[in-house]
Amino acid sequence: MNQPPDNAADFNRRDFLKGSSFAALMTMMGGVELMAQPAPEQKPATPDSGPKVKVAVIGLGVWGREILDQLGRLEKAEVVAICDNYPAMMRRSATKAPGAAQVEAYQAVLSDPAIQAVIVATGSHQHKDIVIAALKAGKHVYCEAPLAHTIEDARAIALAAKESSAQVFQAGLQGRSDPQRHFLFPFIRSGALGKTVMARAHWHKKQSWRQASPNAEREKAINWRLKHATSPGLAGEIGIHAMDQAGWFMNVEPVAVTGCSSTMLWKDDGRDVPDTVEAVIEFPGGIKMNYNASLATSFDSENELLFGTDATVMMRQDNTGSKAWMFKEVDSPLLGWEVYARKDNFFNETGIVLAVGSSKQTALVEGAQAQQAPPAHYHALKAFVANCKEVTAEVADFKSNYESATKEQLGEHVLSLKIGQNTDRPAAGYHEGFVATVLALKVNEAVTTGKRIEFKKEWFELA
Amino acid sequence: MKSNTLKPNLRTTAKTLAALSLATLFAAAALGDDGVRYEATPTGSKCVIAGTSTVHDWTMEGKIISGFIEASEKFPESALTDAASAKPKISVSMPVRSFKSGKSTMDDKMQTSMDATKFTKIEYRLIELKPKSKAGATGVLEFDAVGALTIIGNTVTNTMPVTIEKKGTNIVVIGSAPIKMTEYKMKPPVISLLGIPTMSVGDDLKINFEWHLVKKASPAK
Repeated sequence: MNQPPDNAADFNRRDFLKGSSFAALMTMMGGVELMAQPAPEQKPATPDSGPKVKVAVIGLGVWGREILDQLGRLEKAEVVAICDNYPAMMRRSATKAPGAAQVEAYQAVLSDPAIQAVIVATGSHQHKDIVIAALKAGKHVYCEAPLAHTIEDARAIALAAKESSAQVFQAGLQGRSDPQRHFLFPFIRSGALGKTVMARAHWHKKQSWRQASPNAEREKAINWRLKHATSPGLAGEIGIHAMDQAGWFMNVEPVAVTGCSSTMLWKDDGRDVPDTVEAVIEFPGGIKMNYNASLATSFDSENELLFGTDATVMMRQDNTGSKAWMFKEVDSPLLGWEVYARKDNFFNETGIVLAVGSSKQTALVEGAQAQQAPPAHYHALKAFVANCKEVTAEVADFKSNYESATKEQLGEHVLSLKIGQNTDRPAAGYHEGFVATVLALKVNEAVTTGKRIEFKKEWFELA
Repeated sequence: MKSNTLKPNLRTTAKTLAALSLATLFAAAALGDDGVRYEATPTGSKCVIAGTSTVHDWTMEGKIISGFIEASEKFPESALTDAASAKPKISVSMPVRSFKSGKSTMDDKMQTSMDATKFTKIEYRLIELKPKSKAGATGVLEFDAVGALTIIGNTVTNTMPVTIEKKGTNIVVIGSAPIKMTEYKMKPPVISLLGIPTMSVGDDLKINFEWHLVKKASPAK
């Protein structure tokens, strides 16, 4: 699951204060912005070769509808079916996918041979049955992160994906497809931050996580995030992205996690999932990542920090995409390019501006790039659709050219293409999705039980 | 009712069997008494097209190379001494869209330039092999292959150095050939950014390939 971006039209005073105070903070700290140059969304000189990928979206909650919005921007995707067993969700989604069939049962989607790919955006606890059935039906599958609410389910999904090597399986770890993060990745891995000291990330949104429902049965179904039996909690649903990113950037596996949690605001509404969590994840070499998330405060929204002895990198994302800044230590060596890099320098005071884009800093931080940088999940879906298109064509060509080839040979051929590792459409596969899910679920366990958990290698292995 | 449906089925089956038998006989005759057929294996082959541009060099790789070699039993050694053996039937086919650069934009551009929806395959047909290895040589044998290469519907006869090695029941053919896009009436693509040409692809290409085949079981006599 992911959190839908704030609506740009809802820009309010809090957003302003958040943005402007953040910009001022950048100034005070002498932030150097690390920004991937967004590739202009060019219309191809000639129409894209081949047919579009026919996609169905299963699960039309808030995030499912956000996915529909992004799919609508993709030239290579055609949403041919939307699926949810709750009519209200279907109605809200219909205008986002005009012409798409409205299907109540996911089995009907999977039995439609015209549908090539499915995006599973249901509750995490419902992923397993749908994803495994979809893979068996020969569909390409995009499964939202976490893969499941239990490690057993996540392993079953990952194994099914591993066996379906002639199909695309993408885990919804959108950061893995984000050009901004891929821009940062070699920078961090090259040692530009010096020796890694620690990592820190947070996610703060004051909201109940509760959705309105007409009756008790629907309430239980729609508010699956609020019950421990079905929810991976804040750590699993939200924290998975930051935790995965830390391990990916630092190229380390977790050693142990300690956590705690409490319900600070949303008390007495029947939930047993805490609204505020905090965890310390230990990595090799004494590196620790501090993660906290809360539904009780919105202050400072969300960010990720990676601290090094020479510099620290801060990453932030919102509905205008991802951004990052570097803060150098005074005794760190001068990097040649930084002389020419853009720097956001402001006085250490925050001026009140009542309209977005009316100040230089807000325009720089929120305005100019906002028009150019789609959110990370746009890139993830774009990669998925492009990879589906490539694999579909490759499988068809392989079969027509080697009529006597075995299923294993086909799988070997598709694996040799290294789908998801292309420089312009990277994507998280089943392995990355599984490892991140195990990490996030164990962190959730630590924060809810208050116990220290030491990670075992076998937890991350796929039998 | 049951017998009525069965009779036509039997008749159809008999016709099919007769047709298959004739086809087998013709195939055997085409191969000669000691002829064998090697067919491309589904894995192991690859073809890399290397090119240049005003910005950087580039490569595209395809891993689907289908086709066959029909030759004498003692091929390729026999091709060093026997003129007839030096003209085996070799046919190669590669789907255009299977060539990948690792960059979607470039792949799309290439497929558009090659009109991949109309001309779906790059095809090659051997005319003859000119031996370069000495008679009696074994192992990796060298030839100049004279053949007809067809790209986007335009066929050009070219000569390229190849090595052919028989490994048990398998044959591996490795070769390379320089070609020019304009020879095949292809216009070298120009990449534009915001309407301004930013990169021009060079006319010269080099094709490197490695083709794996396996001997097909002889039809029962």
